[in-house]
Amino acid sequence: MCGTRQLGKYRLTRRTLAALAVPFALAACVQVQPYLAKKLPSATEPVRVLLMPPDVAAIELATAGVPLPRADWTALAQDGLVEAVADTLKKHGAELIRYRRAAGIVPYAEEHLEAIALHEAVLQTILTYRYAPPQQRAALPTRQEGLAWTLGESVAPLRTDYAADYALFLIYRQATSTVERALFAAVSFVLFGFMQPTSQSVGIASLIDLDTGAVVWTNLLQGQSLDVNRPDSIRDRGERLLSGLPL
Amino acid sequence: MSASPCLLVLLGLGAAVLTGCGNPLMVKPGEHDEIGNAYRVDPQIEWSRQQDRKLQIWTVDGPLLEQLRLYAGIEDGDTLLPTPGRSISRQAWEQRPKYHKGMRAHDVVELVAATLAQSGAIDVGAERLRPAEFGGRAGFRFDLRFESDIGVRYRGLATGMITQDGRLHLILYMGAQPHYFDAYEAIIRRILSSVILL
Repeated sequence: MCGTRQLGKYRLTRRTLAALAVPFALAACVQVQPYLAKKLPSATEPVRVLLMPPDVAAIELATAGVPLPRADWTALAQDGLVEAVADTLKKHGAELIRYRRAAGIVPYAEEHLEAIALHEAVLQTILTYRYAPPQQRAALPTRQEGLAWTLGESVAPLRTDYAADYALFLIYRQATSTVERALFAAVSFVLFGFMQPTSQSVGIASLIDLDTGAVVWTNLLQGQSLDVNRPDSIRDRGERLLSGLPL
Repeated sequence: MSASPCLLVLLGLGAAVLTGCGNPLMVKPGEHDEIGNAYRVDPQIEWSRQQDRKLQIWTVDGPLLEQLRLYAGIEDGDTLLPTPGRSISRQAWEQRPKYHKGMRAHDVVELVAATLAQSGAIDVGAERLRPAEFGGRAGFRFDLRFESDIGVRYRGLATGMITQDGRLHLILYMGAQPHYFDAYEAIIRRILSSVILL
């Protein structure tokens, strides 16, 4: 059952982010769209932020548009994002706590799966009603503004096991074109005035209050991809994803 | 491998599908809302509502988290799934579980479970079928539980009745077991008690 849950999670996330990315394929710059549920109370002690295992995937797009998973780029992006989290939390005076990955394919402990799965459903809902492109966005009159979603008591095991105040979830997808595909896109544009999608990155971050389960902040980052061989540019992308973190 | 489109419909991920039913409207407490020409209920709280042919879908936080389905006048050959947003093959249509005149309460339990299972829900359980009033008439009630393809556990509550001419009225509530089912359960029970047959 654990395997089913986890595989389902990644499948849905990929589909969601892919659907979101398409309309922004030609976006020339990086855009972020933060939502904040409410201003957080100022803490007297450094808040403890539990970083959940970042869900990262990097692919290479060949001329035919076939996506090729790149484990090396994925590892680079993952490391860059974690460094960005560490830097950002340090700037906020917050303490970073790393989630202890479980052995095997599923990185989560059994007792945390309920919260992980519900987070996926809530995130899917937020993407549908807040972040979908306007022409595709569904209306939800009962939740027209802000963030009013929660994971409820499902977060209790995370709170207990890590004594953390917040949990930070990161999802990041990066598609980078081969040189040949980039040239093909440029030629298509010159000859036919049609720009083929080339490189892009999409990420979403969410901060969960582990006392109440409330989703307190989310941010969506979309834009052109970057030089995957430059870790500093991945860190920069991670810092943009975390911009406006309400700590 | 992609998730079944039916599951997206049934569990509400189908923003596109629901959009196909028209823009959602707000249902407000105190306004007894007519479901088809069959019955009315008091919504108790504000809901976002989508209308399909013989079905209304109400939700507060989003159908993937909780949803109330109000069916009215389901007839022989009707399915419990919403009208698909795009055309489906004849084979796909024929494979959808359907209501048939002459079905009894325990058949409806199996119909709901089969509909959920065919839609991609995992470990579907429908249990505790018992008599219950529906708008002052003899009806039935049962409980549901299942898991979605992303691993969220759901609980459900269903109540309904079969009319003398063999049509089915059914109210089905499903909510994610962590938080969402519990958050609205008391309200749902009040809604079920407020049914007035027309």
